[in-house]
Amino acid sequence: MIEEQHLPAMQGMFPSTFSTCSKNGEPNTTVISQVWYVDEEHVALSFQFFSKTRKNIAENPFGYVTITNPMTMDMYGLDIEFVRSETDGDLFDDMDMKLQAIASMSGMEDVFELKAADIYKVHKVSELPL
Amino acid sequence: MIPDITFEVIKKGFGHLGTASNDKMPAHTDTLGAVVNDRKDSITFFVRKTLSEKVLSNLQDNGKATVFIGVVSHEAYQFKGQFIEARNLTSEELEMSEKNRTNFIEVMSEMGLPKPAIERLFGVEPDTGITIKVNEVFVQTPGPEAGKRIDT
Repeated sequence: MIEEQHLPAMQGMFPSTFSTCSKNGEPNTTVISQVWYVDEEHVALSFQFFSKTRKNIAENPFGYVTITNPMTMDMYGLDIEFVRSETDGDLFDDMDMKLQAIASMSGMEDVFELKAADIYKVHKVSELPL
Repeated sequence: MIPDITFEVIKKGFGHLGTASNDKMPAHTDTLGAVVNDRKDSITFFVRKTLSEKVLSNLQDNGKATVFIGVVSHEAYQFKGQFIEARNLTSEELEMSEKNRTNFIEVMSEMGLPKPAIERLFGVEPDTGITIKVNEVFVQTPGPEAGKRIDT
């Protein structure tokens, strides 16, 4: 599912876009700093705010996220489904450290706080036809 | 009415237009410029049709749309509304998009990203305008105000 060619798009150098949908069919779209590779069938997204995204995922676990290779601009769309949240462990610590670095670089140390690493199953990866 | 404070971000920012299918599967496409229409109650977003097939299909099915638009300073807004139409872009709109895209390519290049790569996405002009009647506007700038609804 997730192959080596997709990994450069998951290093947090180019923001990703994440869309969700409420139980009533209302879409919501936001920008996230990074999609994390977990294994060939899973990615992790940072849960930082109690947002519309988080509410939607609680109601309807399906999402769509696009990732971009910053060196080539190759873009991929991932159909994903929420599996679980992790609030400790290596993945959480890695994500927390990276998020703090991004927050520091953008002067938003007081705003960014990792509440959980949300794990999603990847159902499909599609390359967008640029 | 779309709030005046959002106009600069609409004009200068790039966005992501989100939709959902009738079976509640979301999809989005990148916007390459936008214009607030004369009555200030709708926005036409400029997109590339080849990158927007699923989005256009969803809009035809149920019309529900949401658009995140932000600028480099992190100021961002979310517009929620109803699909009105998809149409060809005017020469004026194409000119607006080109100005924005050229500026964005320069900003991205200065950040160290390879210009030929950036031009693969932002160097190609959009060919479709998606017009959304805006019903709700929310602050999306990271911080304590994020998610706050702005009166329209």
